[in-house]
Amino acid sequence: MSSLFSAGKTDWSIIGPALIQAVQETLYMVMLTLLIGGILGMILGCILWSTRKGSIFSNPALYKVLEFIVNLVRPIPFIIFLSAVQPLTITIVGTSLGTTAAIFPMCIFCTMATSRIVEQSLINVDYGVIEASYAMGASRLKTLFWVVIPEVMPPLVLGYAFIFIGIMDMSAMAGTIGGGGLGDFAIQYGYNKFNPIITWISVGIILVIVQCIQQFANFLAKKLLQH
Amino acid sequence: MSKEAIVSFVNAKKTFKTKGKEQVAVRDVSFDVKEGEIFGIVGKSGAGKSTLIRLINALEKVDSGKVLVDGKDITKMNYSQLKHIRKDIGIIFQHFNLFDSKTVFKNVEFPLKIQSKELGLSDGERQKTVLELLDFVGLLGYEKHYPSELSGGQKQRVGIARALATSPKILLADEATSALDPETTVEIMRLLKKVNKEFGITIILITHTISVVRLICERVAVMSEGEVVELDTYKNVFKNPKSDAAKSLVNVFKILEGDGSLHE
Ligand SMILES: Nc1ncnc2c1ncn2[C@@H]1O[C@H](COP(=O)(O)OP(=O)(O)O)[C@@H](O)[C@H]1O
Ligand SMILES: [Mg+2]
Repeated sequence: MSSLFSAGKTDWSIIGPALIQAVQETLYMVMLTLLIGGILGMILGCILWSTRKGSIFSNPALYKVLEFIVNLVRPIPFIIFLSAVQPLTITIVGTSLGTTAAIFPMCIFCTMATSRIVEQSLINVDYGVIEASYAMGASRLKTLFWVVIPEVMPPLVLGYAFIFIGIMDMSAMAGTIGGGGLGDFAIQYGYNKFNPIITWISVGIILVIVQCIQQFANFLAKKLLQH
Repeated sequence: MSKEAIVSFVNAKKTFKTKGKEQVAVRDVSFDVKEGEIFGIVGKSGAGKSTLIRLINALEKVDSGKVLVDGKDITKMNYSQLKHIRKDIGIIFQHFNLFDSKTVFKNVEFPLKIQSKELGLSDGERQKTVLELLDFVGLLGYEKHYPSELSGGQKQRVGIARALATSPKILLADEATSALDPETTVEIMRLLKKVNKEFGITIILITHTISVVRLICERVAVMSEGEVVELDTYKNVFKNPKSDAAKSLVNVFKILEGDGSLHE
């Protein structure tokens, strides 16, 4: 303990394994959130888009309710949202501490954010192609899955990269409730121990992960946009 | 013996309500389109032409009246009956409405996939059909292209191939050449004429200029403010327009085509 307290001195035999564990925890939280929240957000986003007035399953009442919920949750600062849903987290996950417990509020937040991005992408689809699809005999669901979603793949891919960065941000905050990960690592071994090198190492790793994802998304979107 | 009616409007009426205001788009329209003819619908923009043509494939539903397609009332159909009859009604649009994320091949294949149960084609037969259609519209070799790589005329050719994929009896064309230059317009009209001649497909063509009608239509309906104010052969309407709307259209045509002039 005392050796870690000495500023500037970095004991790699302790910090090395802790760093590796932190990276693993971050990736676990982020990937699982992206998977669950990303899929639920996609579904919610499609429902939002298609229940808009004049859209394919036009249902203004349902739309208003869903929009209200999404708009209610999204502006809450995540760190406050974390403690606000703590009772719910305990009910569903069994505990409010640890990496898995952190994923629950992250997924809720991710679902809300993703739904809005999906909805915004879908809004840009020209109604003409939807009509063309109907005119050929396609049902509304087939039109959604075979026409509308494929048409917005490039902006969706970029939207998901944006979401990914948001999840990295959330995962760092989730670290404070025992979620672990790089954010927690940076605070515990860097900030609290007056060791900026550790903090900067965490920052560097986060930047590398984010950049990799962003570059991959750009590449994919460009590939999809080539036509 | 006169040919049979393939599309009949019987007191068809359609009103749109937007923000409490009522806009009559089609007001008590009755007439027949006969099997195998090329029928034109002309009128100023806002006259109700698009709404009228969209009643035929039920993209819009009538408020009252009937629309018979091949003898069946399309206004009373449920989704599966509609799907079945939509196989027989192709449509092409002013802005083509191609699927930008799909290749030319996939665009033309799309209706075959949607109607796969009705058509019962194997993968190989489907592929063969698509290639035959692309050959027919003069786009063989463009299978792997995306719509954004094509000119306007080529896009409309893809639109035509896609509309013909399920071997329809009727082809609807909503301002199909309004976004194209005059030369391309003539090319596309020539292609539509070929569609009509080779396959005997009835074509119902909407346009806001009489010059397009002149190219291929036998009979024309002139629309104004939701009503058909005149219906006759193209020749009669052109030589002896009776309604104000028809007179105005013919007059504009003459000015634009050189018989008249705005010079003093
Ligand atoms: N979906 C719609 N909602 C409200 N009004 C509409 C709609 N479609 C058409 N209209 C109105 O109906 C009238 C006829 O339109 P349309 O059939 O598009 O005419 P045209 O094709 O001859 O230009 C216009 O006044 C138009 O504003
Ligand atoms: Mg129109």
